[in-house]
Amino acid sequence: MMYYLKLAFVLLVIAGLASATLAYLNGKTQPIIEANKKLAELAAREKVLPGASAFERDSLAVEGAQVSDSLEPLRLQDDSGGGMFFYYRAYDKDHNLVGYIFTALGKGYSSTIQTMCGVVFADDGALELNAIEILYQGETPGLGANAVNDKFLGRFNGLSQLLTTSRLYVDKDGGDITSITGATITTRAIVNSIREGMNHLPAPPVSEETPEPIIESAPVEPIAPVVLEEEAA
Amino acid sequence: MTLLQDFTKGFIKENPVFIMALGLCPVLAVTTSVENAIGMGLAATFVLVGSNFMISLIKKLIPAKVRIPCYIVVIASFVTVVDMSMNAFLPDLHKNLGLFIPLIVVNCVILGRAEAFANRNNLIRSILDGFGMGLGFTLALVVLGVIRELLGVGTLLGYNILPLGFRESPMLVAILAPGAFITMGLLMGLLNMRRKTTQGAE
Amino acid sequence: MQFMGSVFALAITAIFVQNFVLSRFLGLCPYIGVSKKLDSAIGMGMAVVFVMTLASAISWLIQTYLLNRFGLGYLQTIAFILTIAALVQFVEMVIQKTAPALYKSLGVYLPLITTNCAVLGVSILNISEGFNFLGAVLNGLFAGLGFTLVLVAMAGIRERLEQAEVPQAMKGMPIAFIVAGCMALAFLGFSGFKI
Repeated sequence: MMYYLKLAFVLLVIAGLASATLAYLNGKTQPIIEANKKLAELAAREKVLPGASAFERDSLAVEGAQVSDSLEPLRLQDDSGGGMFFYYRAYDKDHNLVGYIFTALGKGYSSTIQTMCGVVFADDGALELNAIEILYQGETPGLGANAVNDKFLGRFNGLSQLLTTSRLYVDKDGGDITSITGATITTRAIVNSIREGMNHLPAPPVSEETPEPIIESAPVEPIAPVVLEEEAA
Repeated sequence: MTLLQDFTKGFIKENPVFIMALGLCPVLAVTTSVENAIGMGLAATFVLVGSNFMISLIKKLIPAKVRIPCYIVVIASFVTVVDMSMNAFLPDLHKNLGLFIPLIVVNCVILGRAEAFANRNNLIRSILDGFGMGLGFTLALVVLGVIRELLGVGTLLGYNILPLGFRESPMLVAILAPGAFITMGLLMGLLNMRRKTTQGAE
Repeated sequence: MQFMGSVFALAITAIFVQNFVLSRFLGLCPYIGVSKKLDSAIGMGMAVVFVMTLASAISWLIQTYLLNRFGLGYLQTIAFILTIAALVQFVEMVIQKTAPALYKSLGVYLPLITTNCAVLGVSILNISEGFNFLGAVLNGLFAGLGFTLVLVAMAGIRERLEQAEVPQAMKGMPIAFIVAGCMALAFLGFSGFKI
C-alpha cells in the first residue's frame, strides 16, 4: 500500500511541478502572443484599407453567414454569432466614412482560410474591393499556401461589386480570377467567401454629410437594422 | 564508448530517421520546405536535450513502475515550452508547423532516447546523446526538405535556384504527400546500398 | 435526414479525403511497423479504432469542462497525452479481465498506441476544428477506420511483396515507403472531393 502511495505521490509532484512551470511561462508569453496578433491585425487593416484610422464594428443578421468578426478571427464557433455577419466601418482622420473591412471565411483544402477584405466606394457609388490579405491559412505549402503571395493577392485589387457578383468566380467556374497553380480548391474558397461577404455589405451611404466623430474605444451604439439590398440570385 | 561517439552516433550510424525509422510523422509532414524542416528539427532537438537532461537528473527518484508516465509529463512540459515560445517569438513558423509541435510529445525518438539512454547514463552523456540524436533528426529533415523544395517548388529556403521555366511548372508531386513517401523510400534504399557496398569491401 | 447527410460527409472526409496516414501524415510508425502481416494489421487497426473513438470523447470532455472552464488551455498537450496513456492502460486491464480472447489478439498492440500520434492528433484536431461532442466522437471513429483501411491494404500488399523480386537495397522498409507513395497518389484522387 505504501508503495502505491509513493508511486502516486511521485507522479503528482512531477505533474505539479510541470504545471507550475508552464503556468509561469504562459503568463510570460501570453501577452506577447496577444500583442503579436493585434499587430498583425492592425498591419492587415492598414494594408487592405490604407488611410483609415478609426473603426466601428457593426453586424447584420444573415442566414448561415460564414463570416467572422475580424477582431477575433480565430474564433469560429457559434458563440461569435451564428448567422451574424460582422464588418467594420472605417473612417479616416477627418471622420469621413472611407470604406468597410470584413473577414471572409472559406473552407479550403485543409483549413478554413481567413481573408481580410478592404472595400472602398467607387465614384459611381458602387462598392469596390480595394485589397485583400490572408490572415490565416493552413493549406498545402507550395500549393494552396501560395495564396499569401502578393502575386495572387494583387489579382483582387480594385474589383467593383458589379464585377464581384457576376464575375468574381475562379476561372474554372467561369469567372475572372485566375486560380493558383494546382490549388483550385484554395482559390475557390477564397473567391467564394469574398463574394458572399461583398453581397452582405450594405450599400454605401448616399449623403455626403460628415458623420459624427467616432472614438475607437467608445462602445458601439445599438444600430438600427440595416435593410439588405435584394441579393442577386 | 567515448563522449564524442555519444554525440556523433546519431548523425549517420544510428540516425533516428533513416536507420531506426523513428519519428516519421513530422519527417514526412513538415519537410515541404527547408525552413520548416530546420524549425521542426531544432524544436525536436531542444525537447530531446531538455528531456534527456531532466530524466537523467531525476531517474533515481522515479520508481520503475511509473517511469513512462513521468517521462511523458517531462517531455510534454518541454514541448509546451517550445510551443509557447515559438508562438510568441516566431509566429510565422509556428503557424506553418501547426499541429506537429504538440505532436513532438509522441515522437518515438524522444521517448525512445529517454527509455534507452537517459534512463541508464549520466548527465553529460545523456545531454550529448540528446544533442547528437536531435541533430541527426534535423539532418534527416533537412535532406528531405532540400530535395522536396528543390523539386517541388524550384527554390531553397525561398531563394530561386532552378530556372524560371522549371519554377513555373515544377514537379508538384514532390511537395504533395506521395512525394514525401517516395523520396523517403528512395533515400532509405540509397543508404542501404551504401551500407551493403561498404560491408562488402570489408 | 440532414443529420445522416452530415455524418456521411464527415465519414468520407475522415476516411478518404483527409486520410490520417496518407494525407495528414499521422500514425506512420505503426503504418510502416505493423503492416508486415495481415492479421496483426487487422488487430492493430481494431485497437486503434477503439482507442481513437474513446480518446476523442474523453479529450473533448476534458477540454470543454476542465481546460476551457478554468483557462488552462496551455496544459492541453500534457492533459491529453496523460489521458490517452491512462485510457490505454485502463482499456488493457478491462479487456484482460472481461474478454481474454480479445486480449490475446489485441493485447500486444495496446501499449504501442500511446505513442501513436494519430490518437493525440485526432484529439487536438477535434478541438481546433471546433467539433461538438458528437462530431468529435464520430470524427475519431471515422479517422480510426480510415487508418485501419490503409493499414490493412498495406499489409495485404506487403505480404505479396515478400515473394516479389525487389532489388536487394530496396527490400523491407524502402519498398514499403514507395508502395505507400503509390497509395497516397491514389488517395490524391479524392482531394477536393466536396460533399
